[in-house]
Amino acid sequence: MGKSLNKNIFYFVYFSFWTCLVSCSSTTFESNSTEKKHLDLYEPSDLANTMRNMALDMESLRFKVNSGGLTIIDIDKLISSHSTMSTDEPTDRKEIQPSFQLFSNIYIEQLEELKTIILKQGEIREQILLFNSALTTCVSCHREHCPGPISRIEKIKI
Amino acid sequence: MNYRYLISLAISLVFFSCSSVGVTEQVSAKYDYFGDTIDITNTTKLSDLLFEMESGEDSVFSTFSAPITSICQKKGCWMELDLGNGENALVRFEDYGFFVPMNAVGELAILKGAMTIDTLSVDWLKHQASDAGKSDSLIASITDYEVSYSILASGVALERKDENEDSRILEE
Repeated sequence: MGKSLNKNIFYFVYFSFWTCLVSCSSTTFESNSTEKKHLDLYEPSDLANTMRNMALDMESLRFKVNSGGLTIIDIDKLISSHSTMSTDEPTDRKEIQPSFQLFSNIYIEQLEELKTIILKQGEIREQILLFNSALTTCVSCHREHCPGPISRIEKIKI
Repeated sequence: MNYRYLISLAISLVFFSCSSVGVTEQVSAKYDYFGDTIDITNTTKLSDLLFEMESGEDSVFSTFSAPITSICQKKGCWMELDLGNGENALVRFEDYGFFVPMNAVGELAILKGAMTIDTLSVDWLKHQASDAGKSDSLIASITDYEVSYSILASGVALERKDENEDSRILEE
């Protein structure tokens, strides 16, 4: 009788311990599984992505312009990938002013002009001037639409 | 006597195992990082930095924490922090290189950056009001610049949110 009671108590205590341990561990698991990153992060629009690429392209060409190594191929690549900005879907269409199309055209024209100067083997100083002018066009457009990236664009200027 | 000994041993083990798990959970609070992954082990309060600025410093660079009072609702490209004196400090992100979640208002932000006194142009203030969803009439009424505390952050850490809490906020 005494031995049987002893055994029962041992099993009771043993199973209570493991039940609690398992329940505690599953609490930890549950808490980890529900942890999630912040959901409401901005998904860049097509226009935002194009503009991010524009900034990266211009940053990567900065040294080439400054050292006179810029080529027609470089500029053709810029024109081909950056000209989509006039048709790309913006984050908020209501924010797009009529001036956006104008700035977009001027920017592409400035790149074409830069190409002409390279073809004519013009001075590096002239190339730098046009490279900076194209960036100034970007800044002017951003002043009217979204001033956030202005400081980054200004940093690309030579 | 043996039973008592066994029962008290088991109870002790149970309490010990459960409380250990609790401690582990508390220590391993997880954070989401935006921009640089900043070191959050040694932070100060934004209100302490304000004290340094008021003592005559032009700018203060540190890792600090403060509650978020508002966030750009278009992209999360700026936020405002409570300075603890009824004023807010505007936070922008280095090189426009990262954004924060738009539903993090009310959370405690830990960020690394430089605080200065800045003049906010009328164009900027209008843009900020538009991003914050203010009415057209309120935006039109902005005609003067503002001098304000401004922060340029290289990284922000926010405590990771529970999925259920996040869905609840999004539903609201």
